[in-house]
Amino acid sequence: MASKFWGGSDSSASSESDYDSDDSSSISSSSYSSSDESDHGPSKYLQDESSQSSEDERRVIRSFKEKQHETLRKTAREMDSALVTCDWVSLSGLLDKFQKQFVKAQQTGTQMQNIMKLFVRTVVKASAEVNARSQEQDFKRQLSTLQAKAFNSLIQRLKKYLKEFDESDITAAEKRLESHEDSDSEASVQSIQADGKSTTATEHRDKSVKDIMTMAKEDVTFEMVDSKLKEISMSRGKKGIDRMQTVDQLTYIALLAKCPAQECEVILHIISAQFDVAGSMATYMTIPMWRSCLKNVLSLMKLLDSNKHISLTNEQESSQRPSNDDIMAGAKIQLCGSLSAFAERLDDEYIKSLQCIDPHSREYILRIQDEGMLLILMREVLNFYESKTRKLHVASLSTRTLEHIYYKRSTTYESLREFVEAKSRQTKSKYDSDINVAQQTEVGQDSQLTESYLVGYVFPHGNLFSRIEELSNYIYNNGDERSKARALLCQIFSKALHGQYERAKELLLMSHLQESIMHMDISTQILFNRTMAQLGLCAFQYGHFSDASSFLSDIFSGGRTKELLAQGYAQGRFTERSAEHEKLERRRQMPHHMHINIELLEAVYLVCAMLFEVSDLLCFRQSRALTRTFLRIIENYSRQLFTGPPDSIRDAVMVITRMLLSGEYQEASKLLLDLPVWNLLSRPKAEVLHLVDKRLKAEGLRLYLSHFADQYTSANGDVLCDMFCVTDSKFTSIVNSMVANERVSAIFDEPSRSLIINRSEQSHLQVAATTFSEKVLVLLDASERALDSHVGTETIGSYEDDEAFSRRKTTKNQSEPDEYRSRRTRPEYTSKNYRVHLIDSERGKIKGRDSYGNFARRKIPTKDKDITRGGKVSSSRAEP
Amino acid sequence: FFYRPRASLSRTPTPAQSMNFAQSAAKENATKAAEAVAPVRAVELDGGAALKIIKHCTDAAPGLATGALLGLDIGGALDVTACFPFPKASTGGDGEFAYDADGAFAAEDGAQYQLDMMRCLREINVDSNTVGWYQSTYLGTFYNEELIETFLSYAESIKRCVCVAYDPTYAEQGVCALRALKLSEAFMEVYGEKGEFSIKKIHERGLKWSDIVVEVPITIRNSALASAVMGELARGKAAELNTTDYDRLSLSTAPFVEENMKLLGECMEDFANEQQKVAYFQRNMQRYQSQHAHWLQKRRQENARRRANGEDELPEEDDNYKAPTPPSRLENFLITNQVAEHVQDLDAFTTKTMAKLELVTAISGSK
Repeated sequence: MASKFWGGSDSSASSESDYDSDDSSSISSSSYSSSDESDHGPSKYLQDESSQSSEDERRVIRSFKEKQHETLRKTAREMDSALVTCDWVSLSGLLDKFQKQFVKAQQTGTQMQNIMKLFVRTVVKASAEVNARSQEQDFKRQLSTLQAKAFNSLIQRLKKYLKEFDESDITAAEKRLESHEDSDSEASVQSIQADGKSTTATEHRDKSVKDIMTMAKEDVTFEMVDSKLKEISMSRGKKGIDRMQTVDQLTYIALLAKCPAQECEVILHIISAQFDVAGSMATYMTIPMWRSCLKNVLSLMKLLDSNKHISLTNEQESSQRPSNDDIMAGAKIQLCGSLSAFAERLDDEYIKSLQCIDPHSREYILRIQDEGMLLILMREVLNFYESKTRKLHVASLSTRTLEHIYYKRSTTYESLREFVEAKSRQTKSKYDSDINVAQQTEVGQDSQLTESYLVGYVFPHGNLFSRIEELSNYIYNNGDERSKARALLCQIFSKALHGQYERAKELLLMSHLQESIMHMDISTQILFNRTMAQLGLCAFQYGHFSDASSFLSDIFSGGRTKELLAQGYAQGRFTERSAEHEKLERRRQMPHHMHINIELLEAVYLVCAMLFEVSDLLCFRQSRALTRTFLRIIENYSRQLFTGPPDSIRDAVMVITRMLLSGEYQEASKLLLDLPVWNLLSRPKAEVLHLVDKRLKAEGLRLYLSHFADQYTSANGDVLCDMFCVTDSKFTSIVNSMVANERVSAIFDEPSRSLIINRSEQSHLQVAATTFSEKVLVLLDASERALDSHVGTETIGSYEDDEAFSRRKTTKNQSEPDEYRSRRTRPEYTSKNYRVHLIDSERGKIKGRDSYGNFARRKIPTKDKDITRGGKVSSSRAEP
Repeated sequence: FFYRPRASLSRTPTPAQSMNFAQSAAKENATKAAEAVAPVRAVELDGGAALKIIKHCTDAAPGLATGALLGLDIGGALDVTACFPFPKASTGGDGEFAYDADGAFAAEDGAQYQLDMMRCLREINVDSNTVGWYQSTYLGTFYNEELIETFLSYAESIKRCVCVAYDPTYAEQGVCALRALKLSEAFMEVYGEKGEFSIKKIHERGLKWSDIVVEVPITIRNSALASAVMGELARGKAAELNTTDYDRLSLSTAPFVEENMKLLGECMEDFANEQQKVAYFQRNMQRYQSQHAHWLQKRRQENARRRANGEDELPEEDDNYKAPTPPSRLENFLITNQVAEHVQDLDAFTTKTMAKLELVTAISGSK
């Protein structure tokens, strides 16, 4: 049976089917595979596998394709004949038909090349003929109206088709036509020469490219280069042009440039061509391209520097261009372009690439290394502009530079500098071993040099601080509002990063930025948030816990921390955002290496809130707005039925809070200080933790006393000291302050070092009176607000709108820990037992106090008032 | 949001429930009741009736009790000559009735009971005119909407009706804690018209919170025979002190004050609730106004355009938007009354207590 197959011919379809039907296919499959030697084999094999009928189908397909081809050819022939007879109407109809068939053929996708060629050839031929006709003087007059119409439409359509083709195809078609139709009339050949613009242009260009590219360097004239440049610039932005190729061509041409002015012009074109390659906002410029572009900008600047007669302008063709000879001679010339725009664009591309590259890859790290180059470039451009006293440009560039360095530690900065210097030394030595003059050739030999580093430029001198100082000072003097604000924020950030807390806070408070930040643009708001976060971290590290919590509370209050810091996207559970919105947000994201560790931030915030709030948890339920988030978390936590061992920071802090509440300081401290997150601190961990621990001890002791004092008649100081690991003096000070504040009703007996506690339990009547007075206060509060809304000092209904970042609104009040603290300690508030609303305007408050303060005093029975007041005053007073 | 004192404990039919039998009773006496329209100036309470009221209420304490007042409506004073208690809903025959969800059966039962009672009383020649009802209270917590409702429903049939409130807790301090209350005419006018109680109306009438319920002076009048018996009983024992006098000297002050404080606290809560309602309303109103203004502006523009085109104008009233209804101020007024009541009680009580304490200090000091 197998032999039957091996010998199987085309015509044996029937026998095969017979075989298929009466034999099992399992044996035959192997024989098939071996029988596939013949050219029909594979298809036959497949066909046998499927079914009998498929053979017919295959035939149909093949013939269909052929038919298609055939019809195309036929139509082309018809068109030819129509051309000869000048039957424009039928020609137009035929062209339509032809085009439709072509499209259909394209869809079936077979023999594309041939069909394409055929189509192009036909169209080119037709257009040549038509153009030739249109050139003839009174040709149109001879036509009937119908014919004329068809003719005109034909011209348009042909032009359109021509535009869509690749030039290479067209030229190929032309060549073929020329060679093929040599026997044709001379007119048609000439007509091709005198063809529509596009054809000639491409042809010409092809020629000149060939010419210039192949010509010896010395032979190229200024004009040649110039015209070539114009051609290329003309083709910019057109379809079907390989942008990369354009860049390559231009780069080559730059080498041929005859005079500095021309070189500048070419480089300008290169730069814009390179930017063109990058394309859309979503993708970024490839890194080698970026580097070469950067170098181009640098060399352009060098040229501008050394040739003062060349200047750049933003306006299009502002002044008359001197003649070519003048340019050669070195006449003044203005070219269109802006160094600062280039630098900014490069900066954008850099950021964009960082946003797109996976931050955990090696590529990202390599990419960050380019920042040195960018900084050098910016410095150079800055110097360039500074010499030209273009203050606004300098300021905006300074801002950008500042934004590249503000988040760096000085060590990072120095290592970047070292890296850059090492690199450039390395390259330089490589160069020196070469005979070439390094600086000049940089631009040219891009293939090997893109990997190398910049040579001949030095990293900006001075350390990080002086650089930041210098830049921001310049911006303060010359920049616009936005730059100023950003510079200030950068400065604060940097100071906070380097632990100059007081200075940073001073700057912030002096700036009053927190009042106006709501009206700034979003990226500035993000910068502001970052600055606040950094300030919070700094405050924490130097033991200013309440400040830290007030700085951070904003960021954590909304549950949108990531979004506020632009370090990720908020989980949009309730908000449906449009794609556009998302795109915008993606563009705002901070590059990964600039991120502030959110885990650390959260830990800091929670710990601060705990230290700050834990002693109030017991007695005073009315929370301040600052730590409301913390209280909510605590409440949620205590509502849980089962609490496992802490695994997140949040849980850990909750557990610590619980421990403190039950007086287990030692365990709490151990748990807190062992949190792995503290390794991320910038200040030495031990120092910070020492501060934290100190505070924790104090709070623990305080909490323990106020919580459990009622259970004892006296307490031994030494035992308590041991329990909380506090020194005697510290213990004494804490206890005494508590006694003085009536937090614990006791007497501290100095000689015996013990605390004698006066137990005083409230009678039921007192409890009732207390609750009553509290209720009255609530009512008072409410009526006051109602009155306010009635009088119009504050509108009740002014709730936050849903604008993103509207949380910032409260920033004004919350980010001023100084003011806040002073308010809390101001005696008149506390003594009146009167809760102040942070949001109230000053006027409203005073008025409310005057009219209602008396009321409250009269209503509360005197003896009860003391109790309540004592409780609240002490709990809301700032810690010593 | 009303405060119903110990509502869970008391199974008495509420006065509101008893209104239907009051009506039915009133039908029988319609001729008499219709004559007098002049307001009640005073209440004369028969000694026997007073004792019955006191006994019923004290027995029911700490639960609450209610009953009907019967009597004659003569001239300026309302003469209450007899009374009978309403049965406690839970004690009415089967215990199951008490759990009747809507109380309809209980009410019917009560009505029937009342009618029967009246008939029986008439048969033994007792005045069978309903002139009001009595109820026990707990520390003066009777200012609630129910009281007003009951008054109004009584007033439909009987023009002059009173409510006699008895507070057993006061009685413990050695005072006669009977009080007669009625709704003021001004309030009746404002509230009775439409049953709504808006700020506008209140302002128009110049109604104050203290004007809702007025207290009518109550006098206890005994028959000559009873007086004689009393005189006979008291003869020769004038100097002796009775238990009431001892009650007056009780030094336990805290519970009463505490309880009052708690009640005051509750009042404050109610106030806060009311406050919230108003704030909510105002917010809604604001929103509505801005929306409406917006709509109106649009509509005016539209109308202007239509006028220009010579088309018919659209009406400027809007059916889709309805202004939010303002919350009733009645509750507010009642709470205020309640607070005033508590404060008065406290005031009176503390004054007395202070005196007592002074006295005790002086006595113990002298020893």
